[in-house]
Amino acid sequence: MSMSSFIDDETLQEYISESLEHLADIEQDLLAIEEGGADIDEEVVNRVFRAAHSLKGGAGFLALDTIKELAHKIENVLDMMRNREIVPNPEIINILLNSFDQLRDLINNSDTSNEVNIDEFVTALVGLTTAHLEPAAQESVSNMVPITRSDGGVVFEVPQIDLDLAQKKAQTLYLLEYDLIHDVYQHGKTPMEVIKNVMDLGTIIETLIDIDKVGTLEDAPINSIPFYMLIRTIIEPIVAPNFFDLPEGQVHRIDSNGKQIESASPTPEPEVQVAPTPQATPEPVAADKPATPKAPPAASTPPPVSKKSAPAKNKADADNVKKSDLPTSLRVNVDLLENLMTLAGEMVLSRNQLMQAVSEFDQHSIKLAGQRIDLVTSELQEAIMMTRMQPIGSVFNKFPRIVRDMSQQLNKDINLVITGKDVELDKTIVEGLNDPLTHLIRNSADHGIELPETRVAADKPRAGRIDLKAYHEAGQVNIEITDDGGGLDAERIADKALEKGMISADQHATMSRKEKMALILLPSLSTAEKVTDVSGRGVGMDVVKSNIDQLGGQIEISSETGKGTTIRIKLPLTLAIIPSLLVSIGNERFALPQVNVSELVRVGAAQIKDRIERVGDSEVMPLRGELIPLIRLSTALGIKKTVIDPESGEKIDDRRELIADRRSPETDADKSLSADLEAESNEQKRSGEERRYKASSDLNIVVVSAGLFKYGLVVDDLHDSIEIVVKPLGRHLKQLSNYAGATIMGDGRVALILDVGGVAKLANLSSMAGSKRAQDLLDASDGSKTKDHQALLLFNNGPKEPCAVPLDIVERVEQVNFEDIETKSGQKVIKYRDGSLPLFSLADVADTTELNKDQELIVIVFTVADREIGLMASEPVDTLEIKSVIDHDTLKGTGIMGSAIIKDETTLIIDIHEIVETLKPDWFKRRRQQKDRKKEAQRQAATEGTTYVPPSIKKILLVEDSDFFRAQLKKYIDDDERQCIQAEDGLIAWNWLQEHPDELSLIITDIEMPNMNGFELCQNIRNDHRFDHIKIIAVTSLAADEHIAKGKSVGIDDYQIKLDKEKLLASIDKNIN
Amino acid sequence: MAETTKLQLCSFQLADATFGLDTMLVQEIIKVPDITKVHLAPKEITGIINLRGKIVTIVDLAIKLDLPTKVELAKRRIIIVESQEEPFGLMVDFINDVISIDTVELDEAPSNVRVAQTRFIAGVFRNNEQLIAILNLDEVITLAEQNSDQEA
Repeated sequence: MSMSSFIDDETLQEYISESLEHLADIEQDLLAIEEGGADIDEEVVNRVFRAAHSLKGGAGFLALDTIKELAHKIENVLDMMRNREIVPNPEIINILLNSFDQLRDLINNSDTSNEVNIDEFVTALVGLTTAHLEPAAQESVSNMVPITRSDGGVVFEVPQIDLDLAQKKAQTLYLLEYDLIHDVYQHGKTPMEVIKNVMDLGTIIETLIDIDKVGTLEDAPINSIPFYMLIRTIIEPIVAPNFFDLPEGQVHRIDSNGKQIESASPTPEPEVQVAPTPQATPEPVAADKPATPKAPPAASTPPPVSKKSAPAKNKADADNVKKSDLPTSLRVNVDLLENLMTLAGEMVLSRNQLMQAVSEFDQHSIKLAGQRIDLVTSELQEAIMMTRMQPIGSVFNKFPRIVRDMSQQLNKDINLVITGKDVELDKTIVEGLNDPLTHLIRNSADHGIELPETRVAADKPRAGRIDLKAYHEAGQVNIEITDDGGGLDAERIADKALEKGMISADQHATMSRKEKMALILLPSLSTAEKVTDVSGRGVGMDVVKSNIDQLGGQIEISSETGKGTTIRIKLPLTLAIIPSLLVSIGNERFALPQVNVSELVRVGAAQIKDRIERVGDSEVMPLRGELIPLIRLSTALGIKKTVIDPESGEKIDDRRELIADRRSPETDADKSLSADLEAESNEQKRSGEERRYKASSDLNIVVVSAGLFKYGLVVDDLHDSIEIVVKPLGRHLKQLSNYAGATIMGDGRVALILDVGGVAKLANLSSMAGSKRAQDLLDASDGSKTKDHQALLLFNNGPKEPCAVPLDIVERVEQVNFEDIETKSGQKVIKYRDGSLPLFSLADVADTTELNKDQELIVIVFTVADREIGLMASEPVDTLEIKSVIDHDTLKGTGIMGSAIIKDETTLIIDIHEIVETLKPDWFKRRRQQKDRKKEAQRQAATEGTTYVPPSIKKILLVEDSDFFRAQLKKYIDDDERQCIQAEDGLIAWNWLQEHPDELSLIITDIEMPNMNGFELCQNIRNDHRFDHIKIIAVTSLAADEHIAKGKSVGIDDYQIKLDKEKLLASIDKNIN
Repeated sequence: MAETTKLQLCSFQLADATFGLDTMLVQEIIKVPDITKVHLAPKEITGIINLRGKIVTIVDLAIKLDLPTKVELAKRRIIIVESQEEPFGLMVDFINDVISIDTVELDEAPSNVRVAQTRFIAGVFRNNEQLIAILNLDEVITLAEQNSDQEA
């Protein structure tokens, strides 16, 4: 339109951004109104009303007539709503939602908005207004009244109803005549400010810029642009010019017929104003009339239902528009900006100080300035990051609408519960979350939540529930989407993947449930049986995953069939600065994003051959029951490897291909390694403590998680964790997927940031590889590969009296003071948590040194016979993993299992069960019962005059390759009634069974054994019907789910953890024949 | 052919060959700073450097143009150029001079230019018995991408 030439772009931009802001929360408010129904929250309705009103006001000035009209019509409906003349119901809210969508669309495309046909919306809205008016008042909606100036000129026409409203509310009508040049610009104001001011004071009915007055280019320069506003307000005429900041002559009062009232100055009372309404069109509706009688017509409102589809389509278009032009400007809190300015000033000041100090060579001042710059920089950085932070609510807020629309479409009943809207994230991340979250929410609503009937049949509440939650955790933001729907069917996903050839049959068989579920993130794997209108549009979970990946986030799926699904997204707070771990190969440094780092493991040089296993040509490290594949970063990147030369301390090339090769004695490097070890052990004698920190040949492993699987990255050195600024790599290097970017270090040099996923790809490691290899390893019957390791807790009993206990059974280690130990009825106790902890010491049962008061006292806490007990000991405490070479004879005694040579010293292995059993026999119920039974039998035999026949001894076959465990288990089990037959592996056990098929009552077997492992043994036993009556208990140091499942499938009756004596005995009691 | 335009060239040396690069393309010339090697990158990419907060990819022209150099790394120079809004560093042996020539003096690259791939040369020009090959910047940088595709 021609007049837009007066309006500078800035004003338009301001209007648009402000309008969009107003519209941002509308949906939520409308949904709240819908929920409230007749119980209207005026605050909320007012908010929506004001939004529509502001849109109208600005649009009027900017000659965006279509926007103005639509906003005006919406405003009318809302006004009636807050006057309780319209009761909100879903249909009405639908119309309003669609109208606001259209409005947003128009504002986004304000250039062309005047050409858009909005008739359907106007009809619907006007329909609403009229339907809720008394019949007599209905025509006032369409009846246009001209607003006439005293000179007879008609400014514009407005609907009668607007004039009536003023009367109803005892407001005065004014026609304000602003001159944009004299009254606005020359007063240093902007038109928007003026409009805002007016809106604060009253309600704008109509606006107009009078172009006729402006003239043409040929005329004299423009000196006046009249801008008319018809408003209604409660401001009295006498003060009005003041309020509106206009000369008296430009504030015209208008009567209810649209005629200007001559400014016969001393204005009549406002009441008088209202009174003379001769042809006051059909009786105005009383403002406070209750809304109830108006409700029925709602059903008869014709337009909304039929219109539904069209606006919905518009909405989709609007979505596209929104995506394509994401806001390029950012609103920053003024306080924050002030703070930034101050900091920038500080920075300049500090720089000047530094420059001066440098030119004067004043070390002290340089240092001071440096410190100051350091401080200011961190503050500046923080403040700048703050400007980028946005509450996640801006994304979350659109979901109630989506879920609402979807539940209508799908005939489902879904409640969306949102928490954590205030959680703030980097703007880029918040924006990037829009698509993936929408997809996930749609998925939950469409595929997750079942139809109401299905839910009821499954004994679930009719209404489904989706929880959308954001919260901080460990410096990251977690977003969780939980539904209580049908859950994911891991098997079906895996079947589908198999069908599509994404995984092999082998993988299919060996994958864990979690891994199978994770397959859903692979491209083009949708489990939806039918593609619905709502989801299944060709964008799958893989897109969600890649979106999240781009944001530096991680996605996790957990689901229980029938119960629901939880999808957890972990996101960094910001993309620009990420905490990272610095590692190095030789003198090259690399940054590893901390999000990917799950733990650091240092394997001592002496332990490498015990801890690192080789499968084929790859290496793995068992870590708490998981097999972690290892990747040497140097190999992956093709860097020459280095080891530290033991003599010179210099780094030299490492000729060994694989870490595990360190076993082979031939290589020179290995000789140097053993020399190194020798040197180390000598050194250790001198300073035992230091040894731990010397890391020359130790293996530094960073266990990283790349999405769904973990691997260990072997590096030369581990350095600090630092915050780095991510810089993108140039286009030549972007395609190297093993780098995520580069960063500039404190010394000005550049370090590359590793992409753990890319590095894994480089080493041909895939998600499946880990578990596949684990399986290989498990299946490997070659005894040399499966060894029993025993983790021990080392401590000192007395000085120079090293002792150890199996680490598995230790609960905690506490430091205590001698003074805190009390002796109550002969038992030493110490206050511990809420009760007292009984204390024992080795000296109570064995001939060992008493602990003396001068030593640092520690208490090792165990659980024995369902009670917590403490073993007193002294420092230093250490843990160590050894291969079990335990001498069970030489130093055997009460409470002492045996001895082993650890770190060149004879170390006593303590049997805590025996100590407690010796000292507190009463605690052991089973033993007690056994004794009671025996006594009873003897007594009975005595009274009956028969000879006491001891109960027959039951034989238990104990199959275990580790001497340590076998001896230990045998000790647990053997008593008056039971006796262990020992077998060192499955084959020996099997052969024994062939010869003694009828003697056994129970079999206890280890899983990992040479020659014939536990699984194979079980399979053999179960295939032989002679042994059907014998139960099998498997004992293992690791009870991974996969093992248990496999064990059950080959006929193992129970699984127990080695050395969990109480449980094991209970299981024996239960299963023994 | 009739109209002559002046062309300012920054001339530099690679092994015993002399090259020229339009001065308008040269942003600055720097000494060799600490270079971070990027493993698995195409071989002519020496690494990346920090140029006042920007990460700049360094292309060794000696490798790129197959002109084995005898100059030690610390004594070489890097010409910073920009291509498609991205900064690059071209590592050369040393910088000679800035010379001004008439475009009419330019000839097409003769087949006896000691560079295996003549497409890197936009033209040659004779200056006091010395041939100066004018570098085709886009070609030099673009090809690296294709190479890296093969090697990555």
